[in-house]
Amino acid sequence: MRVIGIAGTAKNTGKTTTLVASIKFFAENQKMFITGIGYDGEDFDNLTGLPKPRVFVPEGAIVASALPLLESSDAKFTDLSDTGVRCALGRIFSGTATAPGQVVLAGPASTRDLSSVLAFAPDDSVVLLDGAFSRISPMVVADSLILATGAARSRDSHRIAREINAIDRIMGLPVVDGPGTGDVSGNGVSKMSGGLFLPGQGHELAWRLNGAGKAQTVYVTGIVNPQVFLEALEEINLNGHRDLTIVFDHPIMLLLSGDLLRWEEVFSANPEERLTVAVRASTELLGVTINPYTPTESGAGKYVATYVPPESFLGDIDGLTRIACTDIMFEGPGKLHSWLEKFLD
Amino acid sequence: MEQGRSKGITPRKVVLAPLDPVHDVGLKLIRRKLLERGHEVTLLPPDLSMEEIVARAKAMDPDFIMISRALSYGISELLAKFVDLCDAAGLREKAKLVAGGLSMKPVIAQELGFDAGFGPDTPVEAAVAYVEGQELDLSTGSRRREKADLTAGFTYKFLDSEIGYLCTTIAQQLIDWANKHTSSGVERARLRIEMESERDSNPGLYSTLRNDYASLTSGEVKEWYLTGKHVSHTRPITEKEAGYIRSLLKNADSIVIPRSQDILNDRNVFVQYGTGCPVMDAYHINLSVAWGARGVVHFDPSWGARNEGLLEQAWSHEHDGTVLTLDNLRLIKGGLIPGILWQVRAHRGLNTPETVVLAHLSGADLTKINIVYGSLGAGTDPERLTVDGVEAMRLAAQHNLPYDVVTNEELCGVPAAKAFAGMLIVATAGVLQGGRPLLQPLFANSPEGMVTGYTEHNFIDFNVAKMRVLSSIIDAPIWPGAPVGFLTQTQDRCQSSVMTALHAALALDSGATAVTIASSDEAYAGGPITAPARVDTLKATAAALRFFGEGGISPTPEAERIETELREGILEVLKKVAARGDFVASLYEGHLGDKEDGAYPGRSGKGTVTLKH
Repeated sequence: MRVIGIAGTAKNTGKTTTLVASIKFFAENQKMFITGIGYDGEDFDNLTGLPKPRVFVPEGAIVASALPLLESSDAKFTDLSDTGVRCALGRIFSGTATAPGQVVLAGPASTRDLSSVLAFAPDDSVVLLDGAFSRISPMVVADSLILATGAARSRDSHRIAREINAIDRIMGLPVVDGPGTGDVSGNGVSKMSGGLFLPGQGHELAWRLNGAGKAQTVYVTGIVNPQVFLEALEEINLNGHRDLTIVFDHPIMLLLSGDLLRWEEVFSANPEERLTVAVRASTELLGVTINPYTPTESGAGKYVATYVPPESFLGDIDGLTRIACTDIMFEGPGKLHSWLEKFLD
Repeated sequence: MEQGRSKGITPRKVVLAPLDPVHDVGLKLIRRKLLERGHEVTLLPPDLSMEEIVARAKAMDPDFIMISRALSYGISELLAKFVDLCDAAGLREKAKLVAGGLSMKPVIAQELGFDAGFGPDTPVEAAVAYVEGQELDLSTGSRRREKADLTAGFTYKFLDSEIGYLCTTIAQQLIDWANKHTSSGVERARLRIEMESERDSNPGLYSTLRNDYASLTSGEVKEWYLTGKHVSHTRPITEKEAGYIRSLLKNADSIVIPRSQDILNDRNVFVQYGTGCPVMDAYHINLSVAWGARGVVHFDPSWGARNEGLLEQAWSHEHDGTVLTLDNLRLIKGGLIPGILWQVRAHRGLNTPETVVLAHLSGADLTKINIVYGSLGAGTDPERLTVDGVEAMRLAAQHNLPYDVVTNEELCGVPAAKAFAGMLIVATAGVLQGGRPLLQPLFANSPEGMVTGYTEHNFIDFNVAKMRVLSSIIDAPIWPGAPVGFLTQTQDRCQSSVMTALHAALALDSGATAVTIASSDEAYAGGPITAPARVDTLKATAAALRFFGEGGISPTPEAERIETELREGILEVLKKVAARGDFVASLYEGHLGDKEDGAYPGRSGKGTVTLKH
């Protein structure tokens, strides 16, 4: 079993479009297990009331979703199994589609529940894991990630490009072996749990690093806010350390709190000969899909579909980023397919 | 931290976090209930960042984290971020995440990644039940499942002996006169009963009877019986469409009843339907029931009242008014949720007796008959409708169908005193035949109200006076309508809903047994009545009842003066009619409403009454 996550930087950034194109790619020759961490595939958006892309699954695909939604799908499901996980819309079952059809996905919301549901995926399947809003935390279970972003996140293509580069940089952090769960303090190794996401936690990290022992490797577990980390870096006496390595749990832990763009400062402030930032595990970022669509409020609670010019929006972003980007609707699914082929290899 | 005690409940650790300072009232209510039941509850201050909430919650190791925040497009991303933070911090290894607030509902909670979501209609008990692991879903309300008997407990005795004597005298005269006459409408009702009893068992006889029936029809209805040509603007209902209606009943138990509407459970609020399409009607009925309607009224198209004869089979009609046929009624009945009162009105046209027959055969609970309104305000010849109306009341009594006696001729300009006199005469005729009529005064800003100034300062006094005068005359159920609020509503749905709701609340506060309300777009609908507009007035009525509660509505002393004038007026009219000694003549001569009032004796069916052989 290998998992591809489709995560967005915001609602309406094209996750569903990317999911649908990915399902089509795998439909012919690959056993698929499809689920999501939110609610997707409905005809009209629950917040804007605007039409949404529908999710069609082919015959043979295994889908995990709330049972009432599987039962009301026009894709018929067999071999229904209770995953034992309950979501806000009922118990989540997995079932195999005996006929193609539209389905609404309402899957496990937490990483723990997601792991339970993925236990129902066959070993030889590709799992397509649909995201929700800008949620990314459960994507730590994914082997690879496709990021969806676009005008719904920001109409400013330059800001989008900066965010993509920051995410790309974070997702590309080197992976080092972790210390395990035992007490690893001592011998130049220190461990700090509870994350770095509150004011004062950076100071605590600096205090510990500047104190006796002069640890060479620090394992920080939990969520990390770039601003708090920057505060720590300002206080750490790097000259007192030789080859200091700070190891975080997972790149996704660096994407959950604070302003993503502050990581640019972290990386620019990193004297490579003295400080290495690494992670214990990672997820490969396959590519980024760009969506020019954004709902615009036109009166209290009413929304209309609007678009930025797709060609220039994509062109600007593509020209400013290192990782491959595509607009599936504008360019077709070719680039996405190449990423998925790479994933299969 | 205070704690209560509650036997048999596993204490849970609950963190409550308001995500903005003005949305923590719900959480405070939840805290109180949870503490009373012995749970350990921490209500965090409202000025914490999401990261701070996560850190504090982490330190407490809770079983539940409940946040409150009014939802918007932008806020939804913040809530999603909070969910991610909780997840990454490991809180969800143990804790369930719950979101509450305006616009929150389960699908949005699911999309955001919460384990549950409670909207503004959710009672505190639902949150408590969730914490205690109960499957009971208290987020939805209940619906009374037994039908109310709207006439139960009423004796129909006159409390005003003078008016009672006059009404009885006039009513007996009109019954005696009508019993000596007949019409094609009376004959068709008889034929319809025979046809339906022979339809399956004796096709030959049925065919003969049907030919007899066709010979008594007119216009496009006759053409349909003779040639099969569809009546204008109609088409047959397909089997697929019929299936939609039947499926509604199958899913009746899954209808979500908003708890905020529970206050309507013990009130008999009726809504009218009649979109022309039975499928649409069935959906509108279900929607109305889900929002607290306890009864529905079938409206037929106006052409059906002017043609002799009713169609057979199931039809959709592209204009307002749903075609009256036994098949259409049975289809609609097939989708009706048990416990809902169903009225098929038969009050105004050339098919009045037969409509009562169809109402009976299709299982209706109520019908609607009024000779005076039908004659003076709805276009049917008075002589004809007197004959047909008396027969209709006889059939209604025979089939145990109560009926309201409506007074919508007030809308033409007929003063309430005259309309009420006519209503009381007809109701008395019904009682004399063993029937159970309900009085239906108009609750409206009627032309009379405007001209006399009765409604100049408020809409309370005139309507309360109507209720009081009727209650003082006879011990009979009163069902204001139909619908309430006529000529007070505008194109504005908010204004319209308020007016409807206040009239409904006034009626129920004044002792009405039932009330009929319109949708918020009904008074000025340029097209079909919309589903949201139906919900508007049902919600508004529930809100108005909640607002007034036991507080009641007080009229000014002016109500007493109007009541006195009404009683004097009713008495004066009844004396004139009694003196005339001929009810039908009184109708023609304007004793119960004349041309100056705006009432015109109808001409449909004129000259069709014959003496019985």
